[in-house]
Amino acid sequence: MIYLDNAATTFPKPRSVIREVERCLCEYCGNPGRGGHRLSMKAAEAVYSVRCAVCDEFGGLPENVVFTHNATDALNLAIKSLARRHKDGGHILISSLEHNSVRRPCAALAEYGFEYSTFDVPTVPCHDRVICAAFERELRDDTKFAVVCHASNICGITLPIRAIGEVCRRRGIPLVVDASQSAGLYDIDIGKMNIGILCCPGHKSLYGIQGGGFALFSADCASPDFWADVTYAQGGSGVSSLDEGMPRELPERFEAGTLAVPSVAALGAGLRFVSSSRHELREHEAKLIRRLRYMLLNTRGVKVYAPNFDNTNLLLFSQSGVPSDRTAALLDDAGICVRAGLHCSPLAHKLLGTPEDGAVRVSVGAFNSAADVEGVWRAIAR
Amino acid sequence: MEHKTKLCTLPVGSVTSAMKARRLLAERFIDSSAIRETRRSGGGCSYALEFDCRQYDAVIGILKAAGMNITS
Repeated sequence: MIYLDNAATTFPKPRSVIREVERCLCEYCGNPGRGGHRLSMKAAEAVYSVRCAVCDEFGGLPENVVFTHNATDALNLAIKSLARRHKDGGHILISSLEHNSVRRPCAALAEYGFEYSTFDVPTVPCHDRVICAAFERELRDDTKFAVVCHASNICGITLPIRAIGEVCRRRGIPLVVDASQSAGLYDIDIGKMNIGILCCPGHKSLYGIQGGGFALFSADCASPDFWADVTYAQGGSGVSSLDEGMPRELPERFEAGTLAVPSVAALGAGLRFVSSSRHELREHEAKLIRRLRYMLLNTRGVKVYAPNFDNTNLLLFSQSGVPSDRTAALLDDAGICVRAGLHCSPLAHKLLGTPEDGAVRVSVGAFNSAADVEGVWRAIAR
Repeated sequence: MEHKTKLCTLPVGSVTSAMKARRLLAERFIDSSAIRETRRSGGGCSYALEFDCRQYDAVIGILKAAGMNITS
């Protein structure tokens, strides 16, 4: 089998991640922050270590790391909690590349008086200033916050987060960043980039397992006064049990219920895996995609979308007159796993002008080789 | 004759605060343990740090300097 659906979830996982999950389940998987016994404390120590590892990679403070089930969960937490700070509703600005994990929570806030709109992202490489100008043009007086992805989940377009963050800082608007496709591959620092809340999955390029992700809050977006009476989910927190409300401080304010400790442990091991080789991994993956892009651009009847973006780990294409699911099925018959359709990103597909049924995405990971992407080309060319 | 160390406890709130405090103290070579308390805090359960009472002032100083919300 050749696995080329790493943008959905990376596979296989590094041995170090598998070993850590096993160690967790065998040696320290108590309930952290609930008991006072040694296993609960061991679990709490391990969880806190991963909070620190997240901050080593992305900046910020360990107590401002809120563990979630995945990036969608983190984005729902960020978007809905920020919206609840504004009782009269308002406007949310998102990019035209956003995944449904951003678009749908924003749309669902309509019943609370919120409206969202998009700013157009150029589909050819351009200066950061052009994208920033497009972003700033769409800001309104009643814009309460902005949500943008760092890297698209269907093509090689990335957004200039640092520059957009600077605009948000100047305008006093929190910026939420969906780093689902970039965390683990790109340099991200929430302080330097003026990110209010960074949302990441554990199971993609951070090489953790499914069921884990996090929202990392900047100091400005973490203070108890910032959230005042806003909570997200309610439930056990292990402290202040007599109070009806959730604790005031992060992370407990937003971490109701038992944490997925094995997923947190996997995230910690995944962070160790990528932190020492992030640039090499990115170059390795970009090289594979460059190779595939060259081959597909020279194949009759194949259209490659947004082909001018370099340094990416994924590629989107379609075959003339062939539905995307048919192409994916053909590749599956050849033992190659890719993903067809709209990839939960109808906005981005519309921007790129893909056919109604979407297109085929090839996404590589740390363990893919040149032979893997050549296998795609051979099956398509046949 | 065996001398027993007199231990002090300091409430810190959540387990995350307890872990943070323990690490801050360990960086300054002060041993401490995180313990769960069910009696002292008014709002229900909480966590506290347990350490050698002779280090009390140093502990308070380190944690306050790190911006931790400590009520000594």
